[in-house]
Amino acid sequence: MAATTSTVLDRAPEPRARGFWRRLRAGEEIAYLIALSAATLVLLIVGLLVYQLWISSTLSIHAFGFSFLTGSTWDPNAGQFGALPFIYGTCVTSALALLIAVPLGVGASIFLAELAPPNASNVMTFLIELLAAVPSVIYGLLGIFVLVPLIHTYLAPFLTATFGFLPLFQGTFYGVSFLSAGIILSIMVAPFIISVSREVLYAVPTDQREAALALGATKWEATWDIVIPNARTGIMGSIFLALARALGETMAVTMVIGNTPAISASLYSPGYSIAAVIANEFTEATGNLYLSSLIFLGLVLFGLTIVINAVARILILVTQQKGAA
Amino acid sequence: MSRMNMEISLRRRVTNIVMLSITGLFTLLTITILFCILGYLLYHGIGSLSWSFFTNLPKPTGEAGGGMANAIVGSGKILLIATVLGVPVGFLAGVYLSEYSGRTFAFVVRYVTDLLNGVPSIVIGIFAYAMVVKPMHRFSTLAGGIALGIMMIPIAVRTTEEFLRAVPNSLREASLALGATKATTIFTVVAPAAIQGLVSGMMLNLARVAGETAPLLFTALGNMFWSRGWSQPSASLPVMIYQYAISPYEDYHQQAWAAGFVLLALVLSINVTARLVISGRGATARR
Amino acid sequence: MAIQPPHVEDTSAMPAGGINAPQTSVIPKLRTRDLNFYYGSFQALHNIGIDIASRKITAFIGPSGCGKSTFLRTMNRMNETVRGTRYDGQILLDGEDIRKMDVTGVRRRVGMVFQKSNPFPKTIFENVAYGLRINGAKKATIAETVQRSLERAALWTEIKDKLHKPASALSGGQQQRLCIARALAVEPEVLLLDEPCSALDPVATLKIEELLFQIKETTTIVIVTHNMQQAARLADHTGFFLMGKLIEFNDTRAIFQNPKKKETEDYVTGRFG
Repeated sequence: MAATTSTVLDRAPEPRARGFWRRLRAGEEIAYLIALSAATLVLLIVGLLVYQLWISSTLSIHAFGFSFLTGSTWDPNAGQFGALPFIYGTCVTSALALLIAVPLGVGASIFLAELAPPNASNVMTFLIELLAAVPSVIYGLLGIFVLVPLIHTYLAPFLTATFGFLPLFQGTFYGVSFLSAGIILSIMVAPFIISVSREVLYAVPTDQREAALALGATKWEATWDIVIPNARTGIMGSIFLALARALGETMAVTMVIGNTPAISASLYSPGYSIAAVIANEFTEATGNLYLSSLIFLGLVLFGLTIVINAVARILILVTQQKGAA
Repeated sequence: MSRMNMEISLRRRVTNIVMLSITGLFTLLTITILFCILGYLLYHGIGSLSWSFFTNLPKPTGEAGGGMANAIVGSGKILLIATVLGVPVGFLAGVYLSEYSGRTFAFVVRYVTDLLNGVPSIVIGIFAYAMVVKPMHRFSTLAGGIALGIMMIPIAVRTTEEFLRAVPNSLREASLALGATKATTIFTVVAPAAIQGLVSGMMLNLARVAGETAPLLFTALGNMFWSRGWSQPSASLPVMIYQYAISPYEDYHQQAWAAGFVLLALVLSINVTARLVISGRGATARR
Repeated sequence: MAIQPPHVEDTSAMPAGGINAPQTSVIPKLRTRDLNFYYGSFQALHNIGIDIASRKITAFIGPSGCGKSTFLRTMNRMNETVRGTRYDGQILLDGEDIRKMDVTGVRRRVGMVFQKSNPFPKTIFENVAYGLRINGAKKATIAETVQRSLERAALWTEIKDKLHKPASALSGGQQQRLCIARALAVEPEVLLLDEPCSALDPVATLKIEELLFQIKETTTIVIVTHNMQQAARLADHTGFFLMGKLIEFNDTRAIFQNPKKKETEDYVTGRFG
């Protein structure tokens, strides 16, 4: 304490204008400046990321412009680059993933938030969140060696027999396909939907449930008619979050989609996704236009996920504030 | 209106039970998937695992006794760079948000951080390629580390902010009342109070990027031999799994299972430990 | 889990486990016998025995935490949704043990209005129609019943032009009357109200009190309130709760003017605590 007192005495006579430098010497302003510059660095990195993507893809942007997105020919030898097959593949697999993961995820979150006792719910949620921590290359590994054979032996014959009249399930199933990629993606994104939706459902005030039950609603009616509409925005948010994940997912998709730039109505046919083509062809890209076109694809993917992520965050924010109010 | 069914109709009863059971079934299904993944990797992985996996270099297909020693060391080196870059930047930016934040600028930083968190990992790979590989004219451990380091920043920022905010204000006031400066308070009182959560959060962060493959594909590339220094292409566990899995050779597949098992065991054990530590500190920290 | 006393044919002949309001000629709508209620290991209600008269207003008063809301919520089995709770004893609706009835049916017959208004995130019309829809009312009758319920809740003239606006657009008092209309739409035999006016201004409170007077002609009303004037104005019978026990239950006038127990007297004269 004596030391502190003497410092205070030392400082006291100094003129006020030198306050900044004095505090700087004391480490006060240095700490502030370091923290501030770290925060600024984050902004700088993202700015640089956008700038680099833009600059590196200008060659392709100038060469193809908007028709890059609508062109369906991807022929590096001829210098023809059209992104449509990849955009198509990304959209089809993501849509399929959501089609499976949304009912699964929302259903499970209802069970965890509304039915399961809190302790059991916490344990199960813990396990489900571990699923989200499994590296995507592991999902790919299991996709190739376990899931694809399973689909080939059981699911595809069933689908052909039952829904074979639909163009979606026609043709021969070889294994690697939109279908396999979509299923693997659904397993990967379902945990996001579950853990976010569960939180959102927890945030719905109890009196809403009680009001419905007091009118003679069954547990399911109270949940489906009243609790879910209350949580609608937040659940939508969790779905968008999952969609952003699915769109940007690379390894698992690359390993099971078949890597063929083709647009086909059948889910059985092999396809390609934006992320997969970048992963596969980036190191082999000969020529500036080729590389630039791949980076352009990266820019498209970046834009897509940014928009969807932003929507997701706004939706989740809105419900959380509504729940708090 | 008492003509309205006094007793609840059979249809409603059945719907209630059926739908509620379906939600339970879906939960069970999701959890089963986790155990299937664990079981499969355990089954295939353990069988393919041997001491040489940890000590030997990869061998051409057909030769027995190959390992992934270089990939394990490579992953270690890449993650070291990532941690050294990502954690301090993220921590300090988190300190800024929690302790110094103004209104507008903090909002922008937070928003941009979330944005960076949502960027697909393959795009981060492109960025690291453009920033490091292209100027250096070579793929390198360093480039891989930088790519993963960037990926660590957003979680590091938000973890730090969250855990520092959970420290009660009375602690800050107590320190300031003793005549400590704000900086001293933050680094000697607030951060130590949150240290358990901070370390756990950073471990989770590390576990997340440890499994990342896409950003390494064209930064660290891959290497069948030891990588010398930091500016040579380097093998890594995830990329090895990928390359071996898509190869047509049965013995490579076995190696991929073994590597997958090692990677998953690493990632999940860090996850479980860190999450238990965090949840043990009480709900306040998690919220 | 509960200890059931042997089944008795004529429940009115059963010796009273508690205090009966003096209205012997009327068959009670709701009665409880030896009702004990527990939150985990904490006993919130002790041996409550009471007869609630049909088509009368019964009020429960008492300091906060005395168990009056808990008691209310056991009467439509709402407390069963709270984890870690259990109860024993009997709750009889028209002489029938509600625990042996279908829980959804009990709640349909015994409606409830909550302390804080809780309209669903739907339109005004859909809020009132919801109970009808789930209970399988005919499409053609729904609009008519919604209107009648809103009229009974004295809300119709105020909102008939904005039936399809979201319920959240209404004022606090209107929202609470909407919740009453919603509860009335399914024509409950008993309406439980848990401090329905605690968040409302005097004008809105008055409207709700007038409304309860009218509803009483067809419906048995049980209201929990910590406002003694409200109980005095509204209720035919009043019960006083303290520390989980029903201390005294009698005609409202008797409770306020001539209480038999010292605790009741202390409370109603404001000498309590």
